[in-house]
Amino acid sequence: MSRSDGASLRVVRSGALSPALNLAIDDVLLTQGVGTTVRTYRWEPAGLSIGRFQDPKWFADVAGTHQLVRRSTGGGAIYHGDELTFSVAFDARVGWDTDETYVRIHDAILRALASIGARSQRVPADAPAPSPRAQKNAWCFAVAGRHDLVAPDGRKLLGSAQRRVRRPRDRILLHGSLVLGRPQATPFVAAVADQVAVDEIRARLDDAVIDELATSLEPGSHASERPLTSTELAEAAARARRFELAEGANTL
Amino acid sequence: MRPNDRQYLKSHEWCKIDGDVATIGISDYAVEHLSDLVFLDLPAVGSTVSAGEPFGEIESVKAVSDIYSPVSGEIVEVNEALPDDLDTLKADAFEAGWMIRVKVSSTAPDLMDGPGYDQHLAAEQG
Repeated sequence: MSRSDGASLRVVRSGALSPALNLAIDDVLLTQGVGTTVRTYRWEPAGLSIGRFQDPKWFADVAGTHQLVRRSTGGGAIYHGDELTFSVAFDARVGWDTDETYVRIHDAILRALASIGARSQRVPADAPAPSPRAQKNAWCFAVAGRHDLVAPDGRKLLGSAQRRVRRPRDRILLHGSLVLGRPQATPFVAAVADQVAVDEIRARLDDAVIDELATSLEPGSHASERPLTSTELAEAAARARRFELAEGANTL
Repeated sequence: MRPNDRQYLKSHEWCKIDGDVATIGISDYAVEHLSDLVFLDLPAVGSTVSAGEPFGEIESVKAVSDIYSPVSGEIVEVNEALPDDLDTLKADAFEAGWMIRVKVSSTAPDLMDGPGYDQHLAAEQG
């Protein structure tokens, strides 16, 4: 399917789901999906997700009621409380390497934030990446690196990461967290609530994120809401266990 | 021109078969494309790999990619030093940056030679 044939773009609004199921659904959309999917979701209960190569022992004592999970994507740990999370899964395309994918998706989120009155800016592409080895025990939001969206005070506002699979299809997943209300576990993050009253803009921000991502990924295409099928949900439920972490365990 | 003493997968892994043992790694193009390499996970000696299936993962710029095996068989040697010295992979993807050695039971049906892989790269870059 070429991109110029008016391929439709699938929109999935998942609402609040468990951390492991959220990650498993993104995995299903990456590995079994066809075409482009934009998804928004929330977390119930709260989640603490660590990056694929992080060590869970560093996050075993974090206070709060949450499920500890390991993402299949890279980067640092995120406490998922009151946030708007989005994911995009799409066929790899010429010109969209890892860096370009961040730039395009983050600029879409920047525009969505602006539409509800929240200011942010993207860290330039020539800025250094965070020190690689320091990521082993780091919170994603602790340091802003290149491509990251930061609030006017310089604190990081959007955390995101990618995974690429080349078989059976060459596809990319990017998921990202926009913090609405600041979690107690990560008091250093920027939150949308610092700039606007979030209870008044939740639905509008959700719509704006979907619209801007759709425009960025598939300009001119028809976006249609198509919830997860029972087959997809069953597959995600079967995979959810892979993302769950007992304290100190490494299940992937 | 990539070396023609070995074969390649479209997903940018190479394998060089000597007798019944294949040495496996990823191409210079893959390394360059991944840019800032951060973490690499390789399997253990004694485990088995399947042609076309992932055997490892690599992270760059918060992006994790699977690494696929060009052959099926049992892993007989792993480049244990490589995950802690990813500069070696950057400097010499085709020799010192090898990842695993596998006693081959079968190979993937879609392996390409050097010129075939070069053509594939030209197409992938548009």
